[in-house]
Amino acid sequence: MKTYIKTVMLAVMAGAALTSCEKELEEYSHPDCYLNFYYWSQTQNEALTSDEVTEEMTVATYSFATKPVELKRDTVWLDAIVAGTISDEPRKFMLEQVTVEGADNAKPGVHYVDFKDAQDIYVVDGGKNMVKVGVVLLRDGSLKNETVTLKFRFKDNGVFKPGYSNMTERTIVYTDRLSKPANWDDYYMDYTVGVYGQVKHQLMIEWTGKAWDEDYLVEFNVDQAYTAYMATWFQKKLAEENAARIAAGQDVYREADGAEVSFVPKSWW
Amino acid sequence: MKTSIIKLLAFLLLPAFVTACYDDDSTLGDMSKVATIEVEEMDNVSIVSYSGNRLKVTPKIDTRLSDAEMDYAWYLVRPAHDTSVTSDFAGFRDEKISDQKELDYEVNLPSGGYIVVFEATDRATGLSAIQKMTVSVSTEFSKGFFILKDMGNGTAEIDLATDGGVMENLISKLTGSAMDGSPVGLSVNYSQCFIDDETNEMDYSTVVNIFTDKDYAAFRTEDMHRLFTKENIGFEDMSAVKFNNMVNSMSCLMLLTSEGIHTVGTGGEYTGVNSGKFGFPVEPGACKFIQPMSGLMNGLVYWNDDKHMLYSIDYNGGQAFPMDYAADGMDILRQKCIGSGYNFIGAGGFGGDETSYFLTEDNTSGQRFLYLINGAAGMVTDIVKLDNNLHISKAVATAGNALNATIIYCIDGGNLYAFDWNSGSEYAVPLSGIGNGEEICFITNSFFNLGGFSDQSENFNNLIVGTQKGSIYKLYFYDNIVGGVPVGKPVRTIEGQGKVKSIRYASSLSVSMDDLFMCSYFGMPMPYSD
Repeated sequence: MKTYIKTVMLAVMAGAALTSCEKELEEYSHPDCYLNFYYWSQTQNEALTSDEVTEEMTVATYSFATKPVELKRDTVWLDAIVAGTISDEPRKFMLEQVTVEGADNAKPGVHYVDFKDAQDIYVVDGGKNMVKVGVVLLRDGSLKNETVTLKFRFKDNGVFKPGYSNMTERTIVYTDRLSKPANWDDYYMDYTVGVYGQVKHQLMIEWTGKAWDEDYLVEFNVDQAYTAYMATWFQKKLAEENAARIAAGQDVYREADGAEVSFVPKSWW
Repeated sequence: MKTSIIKLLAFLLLPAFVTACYDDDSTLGDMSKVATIEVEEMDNVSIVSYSGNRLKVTPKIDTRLSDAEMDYAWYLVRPAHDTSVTSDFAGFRDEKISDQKELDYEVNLPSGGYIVVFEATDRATGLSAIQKMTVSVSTEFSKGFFILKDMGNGTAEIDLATDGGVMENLISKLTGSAMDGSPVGLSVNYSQCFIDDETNEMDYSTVVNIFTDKDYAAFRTEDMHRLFTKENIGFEDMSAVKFNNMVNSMSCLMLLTSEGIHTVGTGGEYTGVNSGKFGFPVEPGACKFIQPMSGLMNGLVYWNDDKHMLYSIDYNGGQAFPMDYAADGMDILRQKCIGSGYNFIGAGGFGGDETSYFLTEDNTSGQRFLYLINGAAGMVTDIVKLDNNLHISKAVATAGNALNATIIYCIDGGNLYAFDWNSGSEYAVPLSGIGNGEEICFITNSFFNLGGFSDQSENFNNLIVGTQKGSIYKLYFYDNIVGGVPVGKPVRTIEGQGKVKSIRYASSLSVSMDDLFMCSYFGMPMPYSD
């Protein structure tokens, strides 16, 4: 009998034990704060998570070639976000260069303002969790003939630590020669004005007076009616210019590899 | 042993103790206690917006529940039109417009086809029943017949005939003066893009485009706000260009001018929006005459005025090519197109026979030729040298029958005839209700023909016959057309000042890319040129 009662009681207690209780959550108190670069997706209309950020996304390109000649330095601003507590006081953070094997690495003080010398701008304001990270690029004469790579990351300075491994490093590849804008393919420009070429790019700048850089491509692609119009406009302009060159005994416009410049859109098929 | 047995019994009995804790107190299993609710079907309604008109509906509900035991709700489901690229359609309960049993709702909505849903719910059980109705909303201007007129003094005007009456000389009222030039044509185009000058945002809407031999203007039918003139319709200077017609293709608009065919995308869920401005044309010399082939699947066929022949263009407006046909017995360079029409026998069903025609006249001999195009094949199947004694060879005006018979209406000597291109014969078309002594001088087959899965509440097919007495026109609308012949008296007669040149119907609904994609099965939704 006793054993019987014990067995029943055990069963009842087991049942009671399985019932969950609500426990009050502790307040977040982890002392470490991290910095991650922040990526916003236009198509998803939300920030990307660490799973979604690819190596390609971490690379930005820049060219002084489309900027006024007088511009000797320019700042590339990148968004970053704090993971951790927000402070009422401003907090400093630090960057450090990462050497890239096989690349023409940018030299501090020559191609960019050394991070140690730009400390004043590396501050997360009080009460904020977002920050703009500025990298000051220098227009050294060497960039007329070369493209340099500046890879950098957040450095643990005792205030901030680097965050997710694929969200704490960025790369800027830059030059003073014309280069294909980073968002050229995003806007399918090959299918609008033909495959990218440097001579073509230069002609587009000269003929329209527009920069045809990343910023301008965003503006250019707002109105598809205008995009379609300009696709034909460039073809007509090239035909006109080539005819004048031939009449003057010159060759038609060609890229460095000898291919004729063409604005015929790339075929989808 | 005893202990083991007790333990075993306890183990076996434990589930019984746990599961026997609850009695089934539910009452819903007894269907006699659940009240049923049925809502009778509601009639579809058309209503004019922004005019103080109220949508009043009293639903008929079959239930034993009293009003005190019920909750009521009315919801509005808007047509898919969003200026962003994707629409966000989450279900019919997104927008509640009333929580009363009887709906009394002042309609101040943009034109379009709306669905209104009524829901009646038993408060005790949550059981509900719904019923829906279609509400076709138009504005003062967004639904009716635009009538292009020659004012006889080198200017053109438009009247608008709606269910509420006729608004005369709208261009003068809206802009201060009539349009300069002799009228060439009129088109109503759906999903035409523009930059809204109030919001500075790109948008799209139904637009009436008016063409004279000197001028062009486009007005949004929602409110007759002028959107375009020759000065701002193109990226290039178009001041010296002659504008002739504009038609909807699958996902673009085609503007036919003396320079050729210009193309720009239409607005919509799949296509987004743009500024609506046109760029460079394809091929020179497009006059106003253009027709679809196989409901646009084979592109369009048009008369190239510069080349004096038929050309085809793909439905994206990318490339144009001369149609392949033998021009026996004619001097091609002397041919001028004087009429065109579209015919689809089988409208109202699924699939049909499509034929387009172009009527030309030799500018020296006056000899007329009829080109027949089989849309499905995308080719000219016959060129008929018309007997000079036929009325069609002497007609001052022609128009094709679109949906009932393979005939071309011809006005000769103030009377109406029909030429059947299959038999080559002609007959007089009797008309009742035309005033004594009135000479027929205008003819058109006006129709709106959305097929299959679309909102067909505005579908119609009218033969419109026009007479002229001095400076006053009269239009007779016949809606019962059997084998091409109107039966009975006209359902409507209107009159106004000026000489009628073209009539186009504007629907408060929108013709979407999906509608145009299905045209090869159901026929075109509206005429392209006549």
